[in-house]
Amino acid sequence: MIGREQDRELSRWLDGEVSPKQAAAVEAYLEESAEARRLRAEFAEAGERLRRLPVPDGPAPEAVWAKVRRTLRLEAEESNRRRQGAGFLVSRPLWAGGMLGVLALGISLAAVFWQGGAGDAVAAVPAVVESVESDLPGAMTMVYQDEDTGLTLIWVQESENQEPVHAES
Amino acid sequence: VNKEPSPASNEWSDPETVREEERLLLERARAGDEEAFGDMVIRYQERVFRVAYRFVRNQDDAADMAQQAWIKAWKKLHTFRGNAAFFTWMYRIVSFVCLDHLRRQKRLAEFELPDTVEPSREVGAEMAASVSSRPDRELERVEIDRRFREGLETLSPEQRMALVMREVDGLSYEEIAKAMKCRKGTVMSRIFYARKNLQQHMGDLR
Repeated sequence: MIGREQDRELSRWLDGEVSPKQAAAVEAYLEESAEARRLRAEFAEAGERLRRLPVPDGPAPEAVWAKVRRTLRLEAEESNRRRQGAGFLVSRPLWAGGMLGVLALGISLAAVFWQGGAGDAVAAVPAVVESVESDLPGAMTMVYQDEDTGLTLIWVQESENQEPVHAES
Repeated sequence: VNKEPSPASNEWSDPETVREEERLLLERARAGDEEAFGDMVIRYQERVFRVAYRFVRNQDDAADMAQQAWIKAWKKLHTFRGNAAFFTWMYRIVSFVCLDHLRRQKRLAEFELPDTVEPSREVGAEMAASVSSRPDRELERVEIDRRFREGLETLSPEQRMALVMREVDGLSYEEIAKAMKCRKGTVMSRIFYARKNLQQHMGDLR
């Protein structure tokens, strides 16, 4: 046991953490070395100073408990909120499915409505129809006013087997 | 650890009765009874604060540490089996909270080291009160105290806590090792270096 190792043993000896054999070695070291005795006194003095350091009064226990309880409740509320958020995430596929269903229904209804509306518009077009003369052989002409657009439309069909030529004015 | 009497237990209370009362309170608290836990907080807060203060050496920080320790205790109450005294269990929790705080504080301090260490308010007050009586000796005593506190600040959080646990709270190396979750050899080393560092910091001023 030399140098720092002896000092380590001295520190353990002060704390009562050595075996009887080690204790005897430390005590012999103390007997023979003034430096060891000085160190022992200084180590012991540090402990004494530490114990003497004043400790002020803390906050009233009741006030501490009130704060602790408030914090615990806030944390519990926060945790509940998070759990509810997580619940929504879990049921998200259900929500998404539902939304898609509603969307599909909406589109179907709109399509039916649009088709019905378009049918009505087609039905309403040739309100005023009159025949006009054309030089084209076998051609048939029609003039009418489109009620929706206000345009006068002239239809020319060269023969019954051909698609009509469409012009607007 | 359990050296001081419980603040709530008066001298006339039978220790057995107090223990039984606390066992029932803890049982209720474990079942979710906040008020029962509140009774335990009120009984032990002063001791928990004193432990925290010895570790962090700042009144506001110690109050915060104690509060955090209670919150942690409530959350971990199911792990308390009642084999050790309740305060021993609380002591470990508050030690951990303080050690964590001191380590974070140390990391912060590494970024912004002060040029000088300011004397604490306590020291200033002591100095003002004492210089009037025997100026030379009092000033010397105050200077020694200041140097000692300054020395404590130079210790690593682990060294300081191990030394306080040993010297102030009287824990054995084994108990300190459990509280700090380290080996007994590490405890021995921390205490030795804490003492050596303090001794060197004090220098000739004794």
